[in-house]
Amino acid sequence: MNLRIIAIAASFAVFPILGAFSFMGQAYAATENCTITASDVGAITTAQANGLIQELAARRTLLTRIISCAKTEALSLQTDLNNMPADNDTKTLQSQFYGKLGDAANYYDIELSKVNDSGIAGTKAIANEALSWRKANYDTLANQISNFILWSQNQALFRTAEGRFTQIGRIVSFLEGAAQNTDLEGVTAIAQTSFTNAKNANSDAKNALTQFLPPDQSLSLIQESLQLLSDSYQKFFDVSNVLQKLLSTAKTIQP
Amino acid sequence: MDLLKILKQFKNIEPNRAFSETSRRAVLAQAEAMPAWSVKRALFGILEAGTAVALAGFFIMLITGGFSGSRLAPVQYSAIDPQGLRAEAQAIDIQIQLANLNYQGSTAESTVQTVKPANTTKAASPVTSATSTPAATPTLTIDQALEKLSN
Repeated sequence: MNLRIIAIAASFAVFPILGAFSFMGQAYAATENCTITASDVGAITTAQANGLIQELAARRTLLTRIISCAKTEALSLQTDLNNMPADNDTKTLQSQFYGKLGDAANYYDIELSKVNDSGIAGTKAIANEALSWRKANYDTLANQISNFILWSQNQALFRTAEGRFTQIGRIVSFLEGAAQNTDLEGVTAIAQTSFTNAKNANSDAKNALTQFLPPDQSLSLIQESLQLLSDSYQKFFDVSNVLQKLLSTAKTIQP
Repeated sequence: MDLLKILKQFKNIEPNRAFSETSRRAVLAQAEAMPAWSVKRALFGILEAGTAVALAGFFIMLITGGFSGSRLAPVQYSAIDPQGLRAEAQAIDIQIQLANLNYQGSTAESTVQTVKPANTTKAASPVTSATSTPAATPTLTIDQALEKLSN
């Protein structure tokens, strides 16, 4: 009886451990499979010397591996897209991109299903077809999605800057209420303009993304918005310096 | 005198007829006025309780910083703290570098060695292969490998 209990307990303990090892093995295999070297391609040349059957087998194996990796790439990007922060405005775009990546994964599945029924010429045709499809569709889609993820990450920076500028503005208003200062007014106005420009560029970048404009165009707008935001912080520093001078002067005047 | 007898006589004590009439009228007059007063009192009570609740809410908001976006919020001089400003500016610089990586990624093809595409924002720290491929063996991108197989 006791032995039976021990056996059951042991099997419960061993199976998860074996499962974990098996999972690790799969992950390891998946990573290994996606490291394609020139020698992997060279193996086809070696197989050619051993006859058509071996060459075909080598071509099918490598092509399956490459297309599987392409599918993994699309699914990985889909996960990144799903994990990114999105507000109500961008949720629609997020789900549109998500769907397009799903279509890409389906395309790779269809190509994979063709591989084992193809001859040498067939595998070459599938490789060529997949390459053309990627250049025409996937590369642009992947770049657009990367830009969208980048833009979404930027929104936290813009929100922080907005909060910071609001707080600075309140200090400025408070001090201006006590005594007007032209220096303070000047630097605050410059900071305001600079931040408005950054927000406008950020908004333009969003429009470029929602209109599916070429990725280079949307990326350039994203870069511009970030550069303008960085410039705005320089202006915030200027306001901060003037404010600190005013506050330190007020302290020295105090009896 | 027997005490018990005296106590029993108390039963026969009655108020003066005129006094009882006056008292009855006064009580009845009071009863007529009561409903009007009770409505007023109820309204006043509600107003009083409402004001107390509103004031309590106001103080809670004030203490917990609930007015931090509004004019009622106290002026926070920490907003001009250069260290805080610098930290935020640095975060933007890092993001600019990531955007530049995106730009480089969009001009170069994604590598097969990374499971994630090289042009994603996470490409700065790509998941490299678990196996150590010899440095001399060049790795191919998906597109490069497909091109080789198409010939």
